Amino acid sequence: MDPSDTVAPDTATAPAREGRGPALGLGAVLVLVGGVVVLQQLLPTSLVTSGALATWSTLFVALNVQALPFLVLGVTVSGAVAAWLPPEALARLLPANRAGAVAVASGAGVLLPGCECGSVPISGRLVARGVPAAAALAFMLAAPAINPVVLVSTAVAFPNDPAMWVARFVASLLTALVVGWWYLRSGSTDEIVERARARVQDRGTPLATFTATATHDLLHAGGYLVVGGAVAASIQVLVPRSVVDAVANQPVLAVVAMATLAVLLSICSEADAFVASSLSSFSLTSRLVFLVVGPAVDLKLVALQTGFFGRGFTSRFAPTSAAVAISAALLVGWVLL
Amino acid sequence: MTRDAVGAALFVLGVFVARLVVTGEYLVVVKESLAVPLLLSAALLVVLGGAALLEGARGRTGPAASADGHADGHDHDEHGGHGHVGVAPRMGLLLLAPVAALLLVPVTPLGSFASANGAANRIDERTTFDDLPEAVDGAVPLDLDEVASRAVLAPATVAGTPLRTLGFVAPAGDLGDGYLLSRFTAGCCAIDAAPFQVLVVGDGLVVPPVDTWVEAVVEPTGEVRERGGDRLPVVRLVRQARVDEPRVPYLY
Repeated sequence: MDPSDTVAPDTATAPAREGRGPALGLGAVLVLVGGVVVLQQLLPTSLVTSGALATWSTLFVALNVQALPFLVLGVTVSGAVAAWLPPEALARLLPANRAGAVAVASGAGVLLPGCECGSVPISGRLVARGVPAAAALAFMLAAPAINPVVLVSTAVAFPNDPAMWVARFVASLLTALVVGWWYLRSGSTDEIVERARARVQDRGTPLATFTATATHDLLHAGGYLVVGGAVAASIQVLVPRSVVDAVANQPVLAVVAMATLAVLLSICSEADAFVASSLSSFSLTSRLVFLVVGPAVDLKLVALQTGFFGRGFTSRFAPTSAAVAISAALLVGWVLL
Repeated sequence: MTRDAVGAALFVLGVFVARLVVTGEYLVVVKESLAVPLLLSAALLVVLGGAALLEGARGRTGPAASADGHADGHDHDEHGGHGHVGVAPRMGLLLLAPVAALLLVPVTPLGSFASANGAANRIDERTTFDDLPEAVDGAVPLDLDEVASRAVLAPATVAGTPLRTLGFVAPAGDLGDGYLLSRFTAGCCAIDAAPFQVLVVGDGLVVPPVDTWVEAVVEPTGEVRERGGDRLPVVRLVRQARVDEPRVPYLY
C-alpha cells in the first residue's frame, strides 16, 4: 500500500478521514470471493434451492446483467468526454443564452442511446467541462427518455397504441425543459459544479484520463446499480402483483401507484416500456406516468445522483423532477391518449 | 479501495459475465441479443480491471504513485472538491454482489415460486388470432402463451383441438387435481417476465415434480377457472413427456 499523500490537512479541502480505517486491498477482495465459495459449500441445499431465494437471485442477476452493457456504454462515453472532448467544444454547441442552452440540451437528449445509468455520469462530465449546470441537468433528464432506442422499444411494447411513444417523447421533453428552466431561475447548482469538477481525474495522457474516469465511474455507478437491483428484486419477490391490480382501478391511486412503482422498480428506461405494457390493468395515462417518472426519478437514479451531485442537491432535485414528470405525463396523457 | 482491489473486482466481474454468456446461462436472465454487448462489456471490465491491477503492481514507485496510489476510500458523501480524488469508492465492492449471488445460488429460470407470485395470463383483450398452424404429429404446436390466450379469448378456435406445448410444472394448489403448466413471457428480460398458465387435468394424471419441464399435448375444454383475479383455462391432458430445460426458458 502506498504511503498516503503528504498534503497538510486543510479543513476546507481535505477529505474526511475519520472512521476510514485501513483501505481495502487485493487481499480483502480475495478473502471475500473465497469466503463466498466456502459459504456455498456450507449452505444447506434446501436454502439454496428455495423458490424465494432462487427467484430473488435470478431477478437480481437479471437486472444487473441487463443493465451492465448500458452502464458500460455510459461510462465509456463519459470517460471519452472527459479525455478527448475539449471543454470549449461543448460550450460552442450551446447558445450563449442560458435558457436556449437548456432547450438545446434537452433536444440533444435524442442523441444518447442507453438508459439512465449512463446519463448521470455524462451529465457530471458536462458540468465539469463548463456546460451550464441547468443545461446539463436538462440533458440528464431528456437523454434516457427520448433517445431513439427507448422510443422504438416503447413503440414495440404498445403496438396497438401508437400514440404511446409520441406521448412519452413529448412528456419527457417537457419535463426536461421545465426542470432545466426551473433550475436556471431558482436552483443553486454551484455545489454540483464543484463536486463534478473534483471527480475529473486528469492524468496526463487522454488514455490515462479515460481509463481512470471510466474505472471510477464504473465502480461508483455500478455499486449503486447493484443496490437498485437488490431492492427491485426484493420488491418483486415480496409484493404480489395482485395487490397492485387492486389499486389500478382507482384513478388517483393508480397514478400515485404508477409513479411510486416507477421510482421503486428502477428499471432501465429501455425496458420499462415492456413492464408498463404488461401492467394491462392500468390506464394508458397512468402507465405514461410510469414511463415518464421512471427515467427521471427512481431509487437507482437517486442513488447515482447522490453519488455524483451530493445529497443536498438530490433531495431537492428528485421531488421537483418527480412532480414535473407526473404533471407533464398527466397533461400529455389527457391530450394525446 | 486500492488499485489492486479495484482491478480484482472489475476483473472478476468481467470474467463471470463472460462465463455467463459462453455457457449460455445468460439466457436464463436476459435475451440472446444481449450476448455481444455483454461480451464487449465483459471485455472492457477485464481490460480496465487488468489495467488497474497492473498499475497497482507497477505504480508503487515513480511520480505517478503519489497521484493515484493512495488508498483513501473516496466517500460519496464528501462535500467540496479536493485536489485529487481517492482511487475508487468502496461502493465498487458491491459489483461483486452479483458474482456472489451467482456463486451461492445456481442460476435458475423463474419457476413455480415466481409464477405464483405474479398475476397469471395477462392477455391483451384486443389480440386477434390468425388461423391455427398446421398440425404436426397429430397436434398443433403452439407456445403456451398463445394456448392460454386463445383458450381464454377465442375458445372456439382451439376447443377440443390437440395442442402441443412446452412449459414447467407449477402446483395447482387449491384448484384441485392436476397441475399448472406454466411459461413466462418476457419483454426485456427476466425482470419483467409475466407467467402464462393452463390448468392441466385428466383421469389418472401423474403430476411431474414441480419446476420440471414438460412437453404436453393438451385439449382445451373451454372451461376457465378464476383464482385471485386470474383466468386459468382448463385443458385435458392427452400425453406428456419430461424434457430438458429449454435453452431459452422465456418467450419473447
